[in-house]
Amino acid sequence: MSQSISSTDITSLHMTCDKVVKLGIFSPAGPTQNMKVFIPRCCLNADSGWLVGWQDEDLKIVCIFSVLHPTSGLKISDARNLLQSESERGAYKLGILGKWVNTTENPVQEVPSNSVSNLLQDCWVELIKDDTDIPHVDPQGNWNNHVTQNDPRILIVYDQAHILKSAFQVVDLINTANQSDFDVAFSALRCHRCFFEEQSGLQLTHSKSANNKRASVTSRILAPIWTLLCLIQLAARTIVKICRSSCLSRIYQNEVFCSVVQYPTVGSQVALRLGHLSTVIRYGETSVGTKGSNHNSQHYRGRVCDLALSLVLDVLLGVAVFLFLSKGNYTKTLATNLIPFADYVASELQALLHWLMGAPAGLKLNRPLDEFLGRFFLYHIQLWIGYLYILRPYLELITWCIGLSGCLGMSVLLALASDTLSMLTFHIYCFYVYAARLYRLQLYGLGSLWRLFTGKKWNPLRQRVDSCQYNVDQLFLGTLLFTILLFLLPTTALYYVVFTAFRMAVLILQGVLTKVITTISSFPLFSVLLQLCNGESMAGGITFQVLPQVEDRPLCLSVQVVPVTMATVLERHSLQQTGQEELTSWSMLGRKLLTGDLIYPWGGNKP
Amino acid sequence: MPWRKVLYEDQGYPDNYVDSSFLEQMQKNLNTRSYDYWNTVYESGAVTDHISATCLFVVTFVYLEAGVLSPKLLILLTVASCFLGYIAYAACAVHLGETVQKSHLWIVIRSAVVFLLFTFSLSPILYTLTESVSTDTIYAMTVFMFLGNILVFDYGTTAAIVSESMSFNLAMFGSMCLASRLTTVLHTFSIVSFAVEVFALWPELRRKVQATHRGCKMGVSCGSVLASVYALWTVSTVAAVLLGSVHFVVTFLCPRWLIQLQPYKNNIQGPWDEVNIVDKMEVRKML
Amino acid sequence: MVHHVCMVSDFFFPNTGGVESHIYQLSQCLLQRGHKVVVITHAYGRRTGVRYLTNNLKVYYLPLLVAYNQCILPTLFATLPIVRYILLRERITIVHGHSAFSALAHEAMFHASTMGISTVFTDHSLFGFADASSIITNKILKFSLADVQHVICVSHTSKENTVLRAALSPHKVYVVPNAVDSTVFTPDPSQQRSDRVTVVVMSRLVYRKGIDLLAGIIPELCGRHPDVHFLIGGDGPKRILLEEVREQYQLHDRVQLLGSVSHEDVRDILVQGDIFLNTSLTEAFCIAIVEAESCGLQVVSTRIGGVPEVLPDELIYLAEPSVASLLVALETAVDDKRRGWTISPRERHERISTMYTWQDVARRTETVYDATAELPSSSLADRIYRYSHSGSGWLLFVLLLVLGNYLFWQLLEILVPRRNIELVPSQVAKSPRREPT
Repeated sequence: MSQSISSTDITSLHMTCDKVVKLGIFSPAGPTQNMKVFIPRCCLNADSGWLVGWQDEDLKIVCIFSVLHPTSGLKISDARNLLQSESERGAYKLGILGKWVNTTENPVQEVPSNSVSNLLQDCWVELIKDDTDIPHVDPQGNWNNHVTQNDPRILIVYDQAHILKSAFQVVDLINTANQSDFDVAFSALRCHRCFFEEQSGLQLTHSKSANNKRASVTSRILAPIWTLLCLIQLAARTIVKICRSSCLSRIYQNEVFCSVVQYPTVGSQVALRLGHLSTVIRYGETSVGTKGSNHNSQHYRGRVCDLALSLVLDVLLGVAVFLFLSKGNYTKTLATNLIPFADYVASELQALLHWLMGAPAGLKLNRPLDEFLGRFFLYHIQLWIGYLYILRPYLELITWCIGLSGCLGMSVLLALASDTLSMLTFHIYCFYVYAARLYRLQLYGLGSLWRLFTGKKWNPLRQRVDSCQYNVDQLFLGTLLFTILLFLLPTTALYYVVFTAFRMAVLILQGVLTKVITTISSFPLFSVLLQLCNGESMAGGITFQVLPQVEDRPLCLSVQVVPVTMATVLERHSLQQTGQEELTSWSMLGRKLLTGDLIYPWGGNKP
Repeated sequence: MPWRKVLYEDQGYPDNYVDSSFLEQMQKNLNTRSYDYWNTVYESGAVTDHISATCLFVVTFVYLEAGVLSPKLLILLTVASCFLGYIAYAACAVHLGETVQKSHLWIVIRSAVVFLLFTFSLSPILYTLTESVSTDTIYAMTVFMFLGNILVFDYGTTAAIVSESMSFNLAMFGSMCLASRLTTVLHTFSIVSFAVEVFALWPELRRKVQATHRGCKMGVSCGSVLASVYALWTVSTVAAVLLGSVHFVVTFLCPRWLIQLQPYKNNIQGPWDEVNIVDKMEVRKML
Repeated sequence: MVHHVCMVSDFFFPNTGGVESHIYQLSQCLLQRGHKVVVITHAYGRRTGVRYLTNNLKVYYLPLLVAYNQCILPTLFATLPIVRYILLRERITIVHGHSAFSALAHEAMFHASTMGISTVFTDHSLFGFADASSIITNKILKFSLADVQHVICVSHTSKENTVLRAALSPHKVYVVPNAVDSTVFTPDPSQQRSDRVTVVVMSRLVYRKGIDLLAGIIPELCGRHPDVHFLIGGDGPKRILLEEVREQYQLHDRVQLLGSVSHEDVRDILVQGDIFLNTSLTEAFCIAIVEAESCGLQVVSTRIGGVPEVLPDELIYLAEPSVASLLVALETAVDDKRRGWTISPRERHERISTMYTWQDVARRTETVYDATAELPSSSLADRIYRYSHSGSGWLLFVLLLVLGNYLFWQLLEILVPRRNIELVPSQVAKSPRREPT
């Protein structure tokens, strides 16, 4: 059992990868001053032997995986087999990195310079452990070409099990351009996962420690999900092949067609889902079987799993809703109830307009304008009622189609419902636009004439207000118009307020629907499940502890992986990261309402 | 060593030393004028003129609303007085030695046409504008507008508060508020045209008369005061008395008060003042 | 006598300007003389809380609402709790407010006199008397300075102005001029050019700096002397005027507009010139001409405000604030430069470095502090008497403020007692830290 290092540490530095990079001690992978030696915790008190691992002379990184103890029967061929079986995996070549000498063990064993010594590389290190906690690091051989005596050496103690478990690294994708030395070392470690799991006949330190037994949990969880996804991929691929072979594909490429189709919410939602599906299928086609250990590809793999699960969930929910609707015959009842409801709404609106045309709430309205506007809007309501009557026979079919579209996914059903809502409330939208434009025009005129009233003028060249000498007839006309606009303002404002309130109500409803759709489309189900079931497998960053310094010994840091929080998972793995329009702030909304600017729906692509 | 007003050398005096030359360069009341009482009384005629003109307008409105004055008669009076006024204006100009140019006449006619056209076309909107607003609100607004007009009117001084366009606009706004109280289009049109005459044309004529002859000016002032007081008397005795007292205060008491306050003037000037640049180069007019 | 001084102003680092550098330099020199100095100012953006500047100069950045022109919203009573807390924990004996524009300075001085701590005020600018804003500001100043023990002005003209504005007794006002850091503003002979004469202007381009005069001078001078070049640093609303002049007279190669120049680059710009031109219409002290003189330039300036007191006649060419007069002075300066009849830059620098030093300012300020400490403390009745005779009007309102503040202070003494306030231990001057091996 490995001993834990005494935790009487002077300082405890908690940093994430990015901050460590900024500190400058650990700069992005490149020619650096210091030499870093990664050593597993269990090896610090091991008996003397050979150091097995991977090293990079240019980056000055020595990554020790284990210590090979020189038993009597140790043959060079065994060692070579061990190394070569691993060497075929990727770019990280295993090798004998040097000697580990433990002077405290009893009896002191010398590391025999037998045939295994021949496997030593040109650059090799000697680590000598004595009474102190920190061993002495001594580079030998050709290391002297890369490091000088004065270059600081840093010893980093890591826990193999933790590093291996944290397969999915939740990393900030922006900074992946500069891979730090840690990324390189841990990638090497993860690349040689099998080295730690196989039971070879040789005596290696890590096989004695019990920590490694849990390293394979992640792979066990992934396996069944992976098979399910492969099946789905197969099915989807055949469908897509059929679609592609037809000439419809040429139409899909047309930009104008795309922009027209994406105009209603349902169109854009369907396009989004198709995009997700194609990502999943493309991934399945390109990288079947290969499991890249690069954290980029791991992230991509996680995202694909997210997308696939999200699609599946969507479709299941949609089908469930459709079945529920058709079983209970709700579509028919919905259709039959819709027309009386619409009639009721229309009559209420007419009553409201008649009330506005009187003297509502004692407000000072201008009667001729009031009557004119009221009659104008009443006429529009008549038009709308007529339009609804035309739709009446087809309404049942429409609702049944909406239910059917649930087969494509719950989000598509909701999108279609949102579109239907906006079609049914089209008249409210028209009223709102008329009232807003009129109000805005009036405000603009009032502003300009007020400047004339106080003897000023807007100077567009200098973008400021200047004083100006007007003629008498200009002044007279200006004041006349100003008076008229001012006294007509309450009437216009009232109509504007009323219709904006209606429009706001409709927009809020649509906004709720859009929010639900966005949540369904962007929820990273797979990542969340992974985080819940096996939290340690997702790494959010690393923590350092500085071990007590000893004279003449290198700086010794102990690194631990910090598991990531749910909030970070939701934020980083959200499926829709780009193209999300920010909700306009409340102050902007208020200002737009006050000045009569048209308000567009939230989160949608409608103009 | 005598103390000098310098900072660059240590003169051996303590830092809070007060020399006898302290505040020597201070000058008090450099640019004050001395006022003559009767001259000031004469000048105050400008204010009383304007007040009386405003009151005359208000009385005209009262009569129009009461139905005593018919709108057609008012329009006739307006047009007639317009012509007469223009002839008087031309006479004064001739007396002063200015020539009346053709283009000036053309401008006048154009303005008149513009004004008539727009007034007549917008009158229908105007007369129903404030139907739902209570009378008290309208009268209060009008009072404030006319007060503002009197306040910022250009009486010939250069004070910061004076704004020609603002005063005219305020008067127009007030008269339109009043006009919206009337019942037919013709009423509205007549009162608005009368307002333009009283507030735009009459001050111009007054200025020309003032420039021409002192006696004429005084006669005009007295005449307008008497006319306004009498007109207001026929409407309301209290108001007439009030107007009369206002005229008295403005004409006789305010100049006395101004002269009495002069000794309290405390203008301090000294080397600390921001200098006014004496020679203005043409380049500064570029901005 | 060791004083515990608290400098208060709205204007401090990271803002750069005359008042800010004055406070900073004065504080540093006072620290060197062994006093304890603490600075209180308002928070700048995210810079809030306690910060330490050079030599452990402690600065309190109070999180107060900044309303207008870098000054806090004047609430008078709202700042009492925190100012009281700071003054008690730092064991302040003198509160030194800077700049009449600073609402925080006035409020802190008011609270200090409520708590019985002596106050000193430094006025950095000149004011008029006639327009509406001046009348209101002067009334406020009368109220604020009624209870201040001593006032420091930066020039004799400024002293006269302050005495009149605030109706003070002249013996209460000390004249301690500004100073310049002559180690920074040194001449640079390598930048001298024999083929041209460069006139440098370094100021904000606003009306009160006389940019209209400058706009009149540039074409005339450039027309008469083909070797004269202008180097103008600074920005402001009048920049358009200068650009238009340049356009109209086609002087693109002879007039250079540098735009806004940061504080550390000023010296490098100054040494490129031969003559420094100052066309201000009003100045209390005008540190710019002293900086230019320290860099070895000849100085031409308008005879306004405190400028005639600053430099001796042989070092400066004074002119009336008109284009014609300034042209005469400039031409004389250019002529002298051409003929070599000028005092050498090195000698100018030497003279300035002894004339205006921050150490001298600190010594004279220390004299003021000593005088302040000797004054007897005043009771509430004395204070009310002083306020009622200050001429700030509205006796009832003034009484309300004074009494209200006093009662609030007594309430705070009960709610947040002095024994609960942890006193800041006095600092011992440390030896310079060793470099890590």
